Amino acid sequence: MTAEKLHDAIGLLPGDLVASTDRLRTAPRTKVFYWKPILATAACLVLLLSAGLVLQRKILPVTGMKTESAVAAPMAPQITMDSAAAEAPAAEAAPMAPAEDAAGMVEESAAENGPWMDHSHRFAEAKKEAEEVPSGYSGNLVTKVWLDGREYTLHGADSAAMTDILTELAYDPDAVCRCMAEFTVDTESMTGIAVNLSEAFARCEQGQAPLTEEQVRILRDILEGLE
Amino acid sequence: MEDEKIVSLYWAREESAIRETEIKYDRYLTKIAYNILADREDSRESVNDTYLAAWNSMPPHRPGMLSTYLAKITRRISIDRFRYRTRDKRRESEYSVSLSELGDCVSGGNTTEEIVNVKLLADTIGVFLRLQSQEARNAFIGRYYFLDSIKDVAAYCGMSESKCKTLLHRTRVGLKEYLRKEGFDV
Repeated sequence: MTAEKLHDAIGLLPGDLVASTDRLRTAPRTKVFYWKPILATAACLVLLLSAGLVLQRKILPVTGMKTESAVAAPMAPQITMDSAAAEAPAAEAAPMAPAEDAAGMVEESAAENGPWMDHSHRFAEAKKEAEEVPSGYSGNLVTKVWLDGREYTLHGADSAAMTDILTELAYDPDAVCRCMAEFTVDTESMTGIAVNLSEAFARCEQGQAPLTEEQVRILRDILEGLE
Repeated sequence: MEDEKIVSLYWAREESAIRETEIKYDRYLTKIAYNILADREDSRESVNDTYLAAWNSMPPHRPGMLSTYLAKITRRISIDRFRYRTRDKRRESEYSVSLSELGDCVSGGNTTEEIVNVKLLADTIGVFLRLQSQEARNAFIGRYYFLDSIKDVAAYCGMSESKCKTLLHRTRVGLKEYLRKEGFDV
């Protein structure tokens, strides 16, 4: 027997068998929608986006919020910064730093910080060295400022002045409070410095330090010059 | 037009019967012919010969399912045309591939002592197929009667191509055993 003979025999199969298969092969085929690959792709995209958001929060500092050191710090005793603040000039001595009109941002932060604050800040004792910009800094110094969700890059004298003020402070790890920062600064030597001009302090990993009135003025002038 | 009405036209010797048949079944028959011949012109000729054969056979025949009746005619004409071609003109078609597949079921011998009653063989294969699952039956008939490609058979049987190949292989092996048991010299 040959395959051709077998084929001939298949050609003579009963009509009902052939008709049954013919109905199947000529029936309109429903389009199968393969949803599983699409679902898997969508799930992967969601995971990637979530991972991206998480990484973004961890890498980029968040402006206007408490720094990590402040959040992680134990409940700070209700300090009045007496150890850091000396007798300020009579005309300017006040429990709270004056909220001068500097683009409005510092006033808003003060309002945010004010009601629930259980301690007060004072200006640090003015130090001559802090008011002068050392001549050793070059114009290539770069400082980054994050303010109101925007990143600013400072160069030249402003960068040098801000760096000088914030890196020369006497940060005290025991003086960390929970007041929120108004903006954060990255210098070339220190990163994540949280600054609050309304409360006149700066905070970093090393601790917290009060700012003198002059330092606050200089920093505020720099902020006002930001585009 | 309904099959009954078309058959009635044949019986009434109305020439519109062929036109109506062409409108309804031309594509269907061309596919069967192309599966065997793999040539558009030859397929066209086979289908035209089918219309002529249908005209000549109705009456006396009055098929219940016109599609199956015409498919059988087209299949036979196309296979004959394929065999009539000289060896060098035979093209690789689904028919030629299925011949090699069905070679699994037979020895290939063709001595004069071997007289195969094709009708009896067809009845035996029919009985065998009725014993198989519907899936195996449809795949076998789709592949070896209608000579559809493995891809098409898998698609309308609702299975993957690999599953279809496996199923056909098992069915061929089973057919060989069944034919041997029934006394056929395979």
